[in-house]
Amino acid sequence: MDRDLVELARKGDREAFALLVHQVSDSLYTVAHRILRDPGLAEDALQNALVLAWRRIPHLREPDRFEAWFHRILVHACYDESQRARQWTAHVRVLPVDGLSTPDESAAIADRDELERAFRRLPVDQRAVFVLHHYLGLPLVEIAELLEIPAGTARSRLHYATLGLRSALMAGAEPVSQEGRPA
Amino acid sequence: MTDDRSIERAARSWLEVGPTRAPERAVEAALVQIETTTQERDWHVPWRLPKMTTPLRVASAAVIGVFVVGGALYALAPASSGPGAPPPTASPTPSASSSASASPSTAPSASAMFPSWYTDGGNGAGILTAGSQATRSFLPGFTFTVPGGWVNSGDEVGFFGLFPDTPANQAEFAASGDIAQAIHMGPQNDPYFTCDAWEDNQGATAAEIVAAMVANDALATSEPVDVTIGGLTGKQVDVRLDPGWTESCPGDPPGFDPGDGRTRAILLDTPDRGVIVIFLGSLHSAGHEAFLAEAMPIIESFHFDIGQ
Repeated sequence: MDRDLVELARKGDREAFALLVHQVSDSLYTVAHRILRDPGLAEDALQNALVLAWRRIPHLREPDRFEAWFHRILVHACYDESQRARQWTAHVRVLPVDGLSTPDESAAIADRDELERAFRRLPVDQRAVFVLHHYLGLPLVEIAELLEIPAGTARSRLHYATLGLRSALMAGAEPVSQEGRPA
Repeated sequence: MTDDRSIERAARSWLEVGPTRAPERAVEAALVQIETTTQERDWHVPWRLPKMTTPLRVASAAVIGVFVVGGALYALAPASSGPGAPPPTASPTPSASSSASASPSTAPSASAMFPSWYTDGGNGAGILTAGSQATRSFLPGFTFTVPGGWVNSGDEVGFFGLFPDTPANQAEFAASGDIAQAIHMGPQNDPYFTCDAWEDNQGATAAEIVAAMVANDALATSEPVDVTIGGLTGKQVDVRLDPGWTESCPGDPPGFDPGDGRTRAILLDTPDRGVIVIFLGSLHSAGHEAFLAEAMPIIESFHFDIGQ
């Protein structure tokens, strides 16, 4: 990350900020999609995070921590999108499809579907810690610092996320909550 | 697949599947929106910024003005900053005859003048003549009356700043690049005085924000009082770092001393701009009361255009 660009952006240089955006947007969107599990919500979260980051970058006192700071803004934008999405949900029963894949492929798809359903049941703050830890590979201490939460809170969210996944997987196929956007 | 390790392994593999490129339309839409979005102001203590070398400060003067209010740093980012921005305003030694226009508006011109020692520039009107003045960009707009010797450092939709051209401010600026005593204002629903990580001074109304300040263990506050300024009602409270607070702000260098800054915060509820926060602050406690005596009449002369 170019420290000079960050310093310029802090002082109101929009072109510098645009360059930074292009450097980090792929990473941010990837994380948002993993947390929200919906491309539309992830897109909205990304867009909101980018605008909010521009507004708040004068508050960033450590330019070297720009990426972590940006990820924190993104995670909170994901929380907001998740909150909005909960205003409208539809329950969809996933029907089994026969004859379209080999037994091994079906098993793999079934596992992914189960994980998808189980993950969607988790509260968004647990999903965020789970993604930051298992997808970005961040240690819990760093996640706690990034999200400005106690390390114990980060640890418990990860624990309960894993517990939630296990419980949901053991419970088997059930009606799926599909998060959507308000009309 | 029921034990934690197998779940985690499967989840890692599962998380790898998915898009890895941000949709261009989302990025471009955000950048378009940013073109008309102003940045928030940084209210934290000035000495928390790394000391800039003189050449860097001179270079940055073209795009930023930095000053302090009562232990809260305020970084000015003129709306037109960045490549292609107009050059910094000239700051020749002012004289009675060459001071800012005698017209009542704070409209800046290419010849907006600042005290010669104030090299940070800004998009305000510069040195103000004594008498009636009006904002140019700040919302809600307002008129006010100033005595001689005051400087309008910035005037944007979301920020307005004033500081007195005094030996104390000049000395502080020479020593640290900061302003010792100033007024600045803008819409804020989460102002902080010393450390954002400690302070959660949030609220949708003046009363809520002030209540959060009072409840904050890091801050020592006076008893809030109701005020009416320029047709807007709200709360006034004096704030400083609690003497018993011993935590350091994350990121501060070891042994950092936040000092004894003093701030009078006036929070006003507006019909459509949320809460406007007016800070009257001093970097050091000595001289703060005298500063308030000079500054409060200016605040009390405000008349807001609430219809804007």
